[in-house]
Parts: sequence; C-alpha cells; structure tokens
Amino acid sequence: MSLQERRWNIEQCNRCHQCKIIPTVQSKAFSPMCPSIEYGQFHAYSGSGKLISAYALTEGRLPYTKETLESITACSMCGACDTACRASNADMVAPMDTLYELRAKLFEDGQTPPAHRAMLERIEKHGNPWGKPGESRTSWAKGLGLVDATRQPVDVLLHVGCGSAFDEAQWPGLVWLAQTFKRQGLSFGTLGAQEPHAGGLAYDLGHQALARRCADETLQRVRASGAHTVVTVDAESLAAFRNVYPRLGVRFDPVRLVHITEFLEETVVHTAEPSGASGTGAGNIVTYHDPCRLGRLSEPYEPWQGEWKNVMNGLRVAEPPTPARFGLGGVYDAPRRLLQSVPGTRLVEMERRREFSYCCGAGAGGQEAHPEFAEQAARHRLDEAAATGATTVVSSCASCVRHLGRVARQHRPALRVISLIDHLKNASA
Amino acid sequence: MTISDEAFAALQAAVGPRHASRDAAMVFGNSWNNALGTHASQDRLPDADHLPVAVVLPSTVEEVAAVVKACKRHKLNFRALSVGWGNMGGVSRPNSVSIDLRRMNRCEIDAENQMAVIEPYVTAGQLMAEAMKHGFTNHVVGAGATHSPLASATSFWGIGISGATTGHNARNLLSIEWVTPEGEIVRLGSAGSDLGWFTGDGPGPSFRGMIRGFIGAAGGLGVFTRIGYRLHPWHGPKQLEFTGRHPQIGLKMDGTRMRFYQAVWPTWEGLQQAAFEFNAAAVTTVQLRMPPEHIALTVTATNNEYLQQINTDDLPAVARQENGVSWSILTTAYSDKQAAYNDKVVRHIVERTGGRMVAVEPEHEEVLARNLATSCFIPRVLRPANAATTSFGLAESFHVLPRTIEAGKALYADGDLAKKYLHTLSPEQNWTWPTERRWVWTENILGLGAGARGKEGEQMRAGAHIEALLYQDHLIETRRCGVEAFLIGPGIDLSGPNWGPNAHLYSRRIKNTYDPQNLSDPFMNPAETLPIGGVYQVAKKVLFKPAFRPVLRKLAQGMAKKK
Repeated sequence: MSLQERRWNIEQCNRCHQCKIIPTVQSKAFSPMCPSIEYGQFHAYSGSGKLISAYALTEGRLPYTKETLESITACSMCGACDTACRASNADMVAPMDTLYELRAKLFEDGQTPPAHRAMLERIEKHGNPWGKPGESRTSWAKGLGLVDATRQPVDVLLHVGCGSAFDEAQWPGLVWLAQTFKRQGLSFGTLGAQEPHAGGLAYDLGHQALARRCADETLQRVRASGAHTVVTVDAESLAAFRNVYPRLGVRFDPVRLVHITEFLEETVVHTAEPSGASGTGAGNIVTYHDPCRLGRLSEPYEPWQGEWKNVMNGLRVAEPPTPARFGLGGVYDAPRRLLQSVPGTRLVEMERRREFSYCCGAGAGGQEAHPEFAEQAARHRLDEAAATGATTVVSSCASCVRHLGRVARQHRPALRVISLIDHLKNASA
Repeated sequence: MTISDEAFAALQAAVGPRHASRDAAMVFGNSWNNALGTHASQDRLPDADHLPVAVVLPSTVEEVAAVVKACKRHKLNFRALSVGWGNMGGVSRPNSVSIDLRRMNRCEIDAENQMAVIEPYVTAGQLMAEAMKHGFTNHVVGAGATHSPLASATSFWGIGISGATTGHNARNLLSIEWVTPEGEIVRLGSAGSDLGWFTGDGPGPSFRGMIRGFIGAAGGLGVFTRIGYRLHPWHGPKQLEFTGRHPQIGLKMDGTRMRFYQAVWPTWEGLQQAAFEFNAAAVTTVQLRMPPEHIALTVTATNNEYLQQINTDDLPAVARQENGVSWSILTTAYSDKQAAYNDKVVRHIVERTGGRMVAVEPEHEEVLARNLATSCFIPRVLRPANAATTSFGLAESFHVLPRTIEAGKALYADGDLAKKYLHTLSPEQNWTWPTERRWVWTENILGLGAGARGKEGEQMRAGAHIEALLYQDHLIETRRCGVEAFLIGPGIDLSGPNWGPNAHLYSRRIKNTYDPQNLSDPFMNPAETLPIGGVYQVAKKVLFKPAFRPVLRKLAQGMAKKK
C-alpha cells in the first residue's frame, strides 16, 4: 500500500496527542509513550507529526531537509503511537501502517540516512546489519554438535536470529538453551551459517524488497528443514515473522511459529520441570521490560483489503471489518510466567508495560543513526525500572538487553540488565 | 510567506537554535487541523499563507517573553499552542509564529492548599494521576485527558463532565503568570506579590476576570506560562486500578465506596427535577447525560462493532434510545457509611422523580465509570467520522434543559442540514451535566457526516457548522435562555449584542488595549468589528424562515470562506 493509499487514514488524525501519552497514566514522570517526540520535541517527531509529514509528501509540499529527515528517522518504529492511537480512533488512523510506507518512500527517494543505508547494505552483503562474516553466525555453537537442519530433517528448528548469534554476551544463554533441549531429547537443529537475516529491520528501514527477499529465503529454509515448529530466540525476528511477513504475503503455515519464551513456558512451566531449584534469583527483585518487538509488534498481522464505507450519513465502517489489532496479541504472559517460575524472584511491574511498554530506543536503526535519541529513551526507561525498586531489569530481546545494559552501565550502574534466558540459566546453575 | 533571516535569528536567540525551526515538517506539524475550530476552507494542511513562518519551543517564561518581543520587533504575529484534542492553537493569519509550549511542563502539587502549580504542557491526565496520590482530582474539559488544564483555565471555555464537583476552569484558575502581547512578564494575583499561587484576585479590579472571563481570549491576549490551579477532593482510590483490555479499559469498582448508576426517566422533566434534587443533596461526584449512541460508542471498540450491534439489535440497555433520558452517575465516599448514605439518597431521588435504574453489564459499568472519573473516552464519541461541531453550549439554570433538547432535535430534524451534513445515528446528541452542583452545562454535539472532501468540502462543512450554530442561537434566543458560549470568533458580532450589555465591545476594547498592534492571534478574539453584525441583527428576523434558508446557507458559507 502506498502513502497515497494511506491518505484517508491519515486524514482521520485529529491531532489529539494521544500518540504521545500512555492511555493509562499513573504518574506524570512515566506517562510519555513515544521516545521520538521526547527527543525531538517538535510535533513532527510524534506519530501524528509523522503522519502529517507523510500527508505533505503526498501533496508534494514537503522538501527533504536534514530536519525533516531527522524527525522521521529518529524513531525506533516501536509502534507505541499506533497502540495508543487506537484508544479513541480504533482502526481508523492506524499510524504504523503509514509509518512503514513513509520509511519506504524515503528509501525509494534515496533519502534513507547514511547509517541506515549502511545497515541495509550489510544485510544484503553479509546477512546481518553489522557486517560480521556469515560463518561466525555459528560461533556460539562450537563443540555442541548441533544438528544442521539444512542437511538433516528436524522436528523443531531453533531460529537464533542475528541479535543473539553475533553478540558474544548472549552465547552462554544460547548454549544453555541448546543443552536444555538436548537433555529433553528434543529433535531440533539450527540453520547454522545458512540462517538468513529475518528481514524485519530491512522493512523498518524502508527497503521492502530486501525484506521480501529475506522472508522468501527464510521460508524456503524453514520448509526445507521439515520442521513442524520454529522456535525463535530473537524478538525482532518474531516480529518480522508474525507481523511483517504477512504484509509481504509470506506465511509460515502450517509450520508453527513460537518465541523461545512461549516454548520454554510450555516445556518448563507447564510441565513443571524445575528450571532451577534454589537458584541465584533468591531475593532478587526484578522488573520486566516488554520489548516492543516481542510485545505489540509481534501481534499477528492479518492483511486487510476492503474499503471504508460511509453508512448512516457519517459512520465510517470498514468493509469487510478490519482484523482487531490493539497490541494485545504480543507475547506478554510467557516471559512473566517464566520469571515467576524462578524461586526467589520477585517481579515488580513498571507503570508502562505489556502493550503500553516504553521503548528503549534500540530498534529500527535508532541507535545507529541517532545515538542521542536512543540513549535518551534508554535512560528514561531505566529511570522507570529503578523507580520500581528493582535491582535487575530482565528482558527477552537481545537488542534491548544490549542497549539498556550499555546505558545502565554508564548512568544506572546499580541496575543490572540481563536477558530472561540468562536469568533462567543462572537460576538453574 | 517566509520569515526573514534576521527575524528567525532573533527567534533562535530567544530559545536556542535547536528549538526554533522554519522547516516545513515542523511547520506542518503545528498546522494540521481536523477537529473543532477548523479554520474555514482550510484542508487538513493549510495553504502557504496560513502556515506559521516558524515554530519555537521556549522552556521558560523569559524565553516566551523574548520570543514575543522578537515578534513585536519584526512585526510577526504569534499564537501559543500547547496540548489537547484538535489544534485549537493553530495560527489563523499569515506571517505568524507558532509558540509551542511543549517544553514547559512542570507540575507541583500543593496538597495543603488544595491546588497545583502547573505549566502549559501538563495534561489533565498527568495532573490527575499526581493529584489523586494526595486525595485530589482536577477538572477535565471535553477535549479529554490529553488537554492542557492551563490552556483551558486561562484561555478557553473550561467546561467538563465532572463539573458537579470540579467546577469549571474559569473558577479553577488561581494566580497567573502572563506574557502580555507586548512581551511584558506579569504575575497576577498573589504570585505578583511573591506570595505563592494561591489566588488570582489581588487588590483592585480582578485581572483574572478581565483576561479570561467566562470564555477566554483563546490565544488573542498573549501567552500564559504558569498558573495556580485549584484541585478538588477525590474520595476514590489514590491510584486508579484498571480492568479490561485495551481499548476497553475500565476502572475497578470496589462495589462499596465507588459506585456507578445508570438512571433513566420517562420524561425530560423528570430528569430535570432529579437534577435539581441531586444538586441540593450533593451526593453525586460526576453526573452526566450522554446521548445513547455516544454511550454505545464508548462501550464498543470500533465503528464496525457498533454497527453490528445496531444491525443485530444487540445494543446493551444502557445504549438504547428508549433509555436515553438518563443520568450516568459516579459516587465516591470516604467511608462505608457515607457510601451507604449516597446510595440511599441517589435511589430515593431517582424513585421520587419517576426514574428507574437500568442494569449495566459489569464490563460496561467499568468503562463508563472510568470515563466519568477521567473523561478519557470523550474524544471517542467523535469516532464515527472523526469530525463534529458543537452548539458551544449554554450555561444556565436547569430550567432550560428540556428546551435545549428541543433545539438539538430541531437541528437534526432540519432536512437540509441533517441530510447533507449530520450523521443520522440519533435524533439528538445532547450532552448535559451540572456544574458546581448548581447550574447546567448543556451542549448539542453535532456529529458531522462524512461530507465532501477537499477544500470545497471543508468549506461546506465549516459552513454547515456556522449555519447550525446560528440556527441554534436563533432557537435559544427566542426562548430567552441564559449565557451561551458563542461569543467567540466572527460570531461575536452576530450574537454578542444579545448577551450581556455589549460584552463583545468590552472584550474587543481589552484586546485592543493590551495588544495595540494586534499581533496575538485574533481568530477567536477579533480586534476588528465584523460589518455583518449590524445587518444580521435585522436580517435574522427572517433568515430562519423556510423561504430564506438558502440565504442563511449562503451567509454561513460566506463566513466560512477563508479570508
């Protein structure tokens, strides 16, 4: 769908400011919803403001300037504006659908920021946004003797994702996972160095054709593996599989697709297999940071084709009805149940959680193109975490853990940021 | 229209280079309007002449004053803008600077004095969350929880559904920090004597009344940067506990101290009598009459869900037309005994005035109760077409109530208006609630139809808006009701002479005295007399007769044309 085709939806924006503020305010300090407007301050940075810019572009009235481009791209595409907007406007404005097209328009017009272009080039050339050699994707698994699912059929395909595979800090967690699966006698394997980039980041950055190529390649590999279930460790990949691929017409069906937290919840919590008897979690007050891409952005997307009709002289209704999307279909409960399965862990919630989680600023090239934006978002999120009294921030997204951890070490050294897998691993040690 | 480099440099000097922009995206962002107060014939994005030449983001009163002085020096118009539904602070004239007050959002609760000191970008929802921690709440106007209490209290209307216990913002306004249209920083009331923000009325004539009065100057009298703001006791929980699932998020009802009632009457007179008695008994925390289809829009998540319930005749009892003569009531209490007393009194009044209670599904009760406590769902009722206008309301004795309903019905019964411009969800769309537990605020929200698009469509829509307003004004005037809120914008010269002793002339005199160069945006507070005012006083005697309706329409469409 082009920006032109989004004009009607944009016109429904009445500049109500809800895209900037959580619909369930519990304190002024932690009421912001959008890290982009918090950074840029001008309305153009908000979800509404970006829609207005998109509209102006369709009218040929918006020249590309440095300021304009920053207002569009200093954004983690976290979807918070979209979820908040729906409090009053339901499915009529749907900002994210337009923001994706806005990024695509920038790419098409050659206006994607250099840092984002470089990421896209590295994805094309190396299969990951950092330009790491493709073969190092399997470094974490050396000596584990994992089944290569490109050569041998498996029941379960463990999809690692770039976020963990290329981050050495995540490797112990991955090793623990693989060993746990082995102990359970699971028939599983990985795609090894052949695992393609999932493509979600390419879609966020506006290169939809590249995203499509990544999606096609991923699907082909998955099908070839014979797996009936794909378990992805990577929140960004899950968002791509569940929310982006359907936009590109790529579907995993009938292969079942789950996040590692959902899979572990089934195998660890529901089967009551102890993940850690005493654990290092004893007396540990933790708060859980819902990653945008595991939460609201993993809500399954159902393509809709239809039209908005005017009935009763002014009631706009979608025909056929649009699929309900309020951010509720993300993965929220599984990580919490896993956390609570660790003895001695006390979970204290932040004000902004689940579909209203505040983004840490890591996604969609925010860190790379606008590091100050990304750092500000993380600092704000860490302030909220600290306000809960927690000493540990747990999250289920490698990017969030990496970014929040880095910023915490500088600004909140008393706060420890770890991945949920590491938390479970430590508890079972 | 562009700004000179020299003038822009002056603005940058005032707020810092990072916080002044003349970039198209920043300018468009502050211009978009698709809500109430749309400038006539402007499409979502105004034409080049009606865009601000720059946007500035001051963070202190000194920076605001420096901006205003720079505007004065360089002969630039200006208008302040903060936060809320729609774009009521958009500039209306060429060569204007948009002063976006987003960076001014400090908020301090002074619990002992039952007040807060707030800056423009503190939202009602944010203030409420902080105030409730101290056992207080604040007034929220019809724009909902994202609006700026400072903007409302200093500059425009200030009427909201919790008015029974939170009053209205003209009287919630305490001390004021004001940057005059000439760039002078003035503190009115106790703050002017460094005695805190406790009161807005100092010795001598009250400037609070002069710069604000009942309606406010809507950006036509400089910039307000900080105020003392009255809070009101809140007997509910110190932090709201939410239920349900987004977007149908409700308020956890404890079943004892916080209670929701939906009472209906067979006649408007019964509802009116109950209102008098509720006012006297002082037992309702929030009391609202909302038209049934707006209740239906509140308890449904999407337009499609709403339509489906209409088509399958599944609308809940609370949202049915036959139960439309209703009060939705929230009561709160400090103690179980007080709650029991409230309950007894509410039920007694309902019964005595011929009403009855309607059973409400628990999930609907929670959503409706949350709306009463926080006003969060008010913008949702405009969801059908995301466009509406309003009669702009009446402030009067509850004696006026049945007549305003008749006026609302008359607007919807008007063939041309209804067929062309208004949606047909119900025969009237009247909102009514008590303010200060004494007088009524009653307002006909006119749900605009989808209408034509483009500039011509916008003009037709704006014309319909004006036509409806004039028509209602005519209906109300003939019945001699009390104060109405139409004394704004071009309408000031049409209906002004009927309301008060030349109030429109006095407000114009104040405007011209404090803003001799007319730099502060006069869209709502015109500096010049509209010639049509005199003609209208004569013409209106026939304009509303059926034969002259085409003339009235032409007049309205003409007024809707952009200047």
